[in-house]
Amino acid sequence: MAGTVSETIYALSFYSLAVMCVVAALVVISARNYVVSALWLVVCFVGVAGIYVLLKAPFLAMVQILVYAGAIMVLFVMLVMLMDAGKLEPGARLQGVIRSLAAVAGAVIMLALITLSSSMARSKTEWSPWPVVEPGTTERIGADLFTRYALPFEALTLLLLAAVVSALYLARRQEGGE
Amino acid sequence: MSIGVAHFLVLASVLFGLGLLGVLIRRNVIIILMSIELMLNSANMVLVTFSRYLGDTTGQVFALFVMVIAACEVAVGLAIILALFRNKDTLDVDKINIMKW
Repeated sequence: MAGTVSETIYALSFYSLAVMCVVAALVVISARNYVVSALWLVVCFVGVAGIYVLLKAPFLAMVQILVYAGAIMVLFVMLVMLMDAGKLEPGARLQGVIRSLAAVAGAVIMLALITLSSSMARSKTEWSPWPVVEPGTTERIGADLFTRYALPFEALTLLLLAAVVSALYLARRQEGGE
Repeated sequence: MSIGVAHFLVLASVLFGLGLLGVLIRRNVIIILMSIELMLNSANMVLVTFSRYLGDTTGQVFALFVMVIAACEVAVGLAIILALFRNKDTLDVDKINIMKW
């Protein structure tokens, strides 16, 4: 009995988070004002973080909120504030036939992906037992990062450095201008 | 009604498809960048789902790597947009066609 109750709660949380993500994503791609888009993108990211919790990945859920809902959204909002919002045309969309073609192509690819994913339902779907390591998965991710994946990890630190330097170079004020 | 792998994969597919539609239909650079973020998120969700499915944290480590690369991409992408806006005064990708043959 307790099993079915917790299963129902799990299903309810999954469906509410899924609806939250999908609605937020729909607003992101359809809003005319991109500050609205940016704020709904936060909602979508928080929903995805909730999905990570359901998938027993609490560390990734935290990183998702810190990096996406925190850092990346601050970047987006800062950028919008740095630019003169009056000059922008946020509502720009494709026009005419090419627009319906693009929409059909996107919808076909989305349907293909959904069909492919739902075919997993017919194969073996039970979750493998999650090997519990106290205090959780964070310890295992940390151990993996510094042993098996130490080289890619260090390469990523170089990539971050390169990204910071190039972003600063690109966004600097031009000499003579302003 | 127990939630299986397919549920999470379908949700990720829907999010990916919405991001793809955003990239295809919208012409504003910032919205396109946000749609790319949506797609990266859904790819991450698939990685974490299979990490849970196989009982192996490798997928989570890779999702972490994807997040780092997404952060780099956003920082550089937004810097390019800022430089572009200073030079061209527009964010409409159809008007940024100086390199188009």
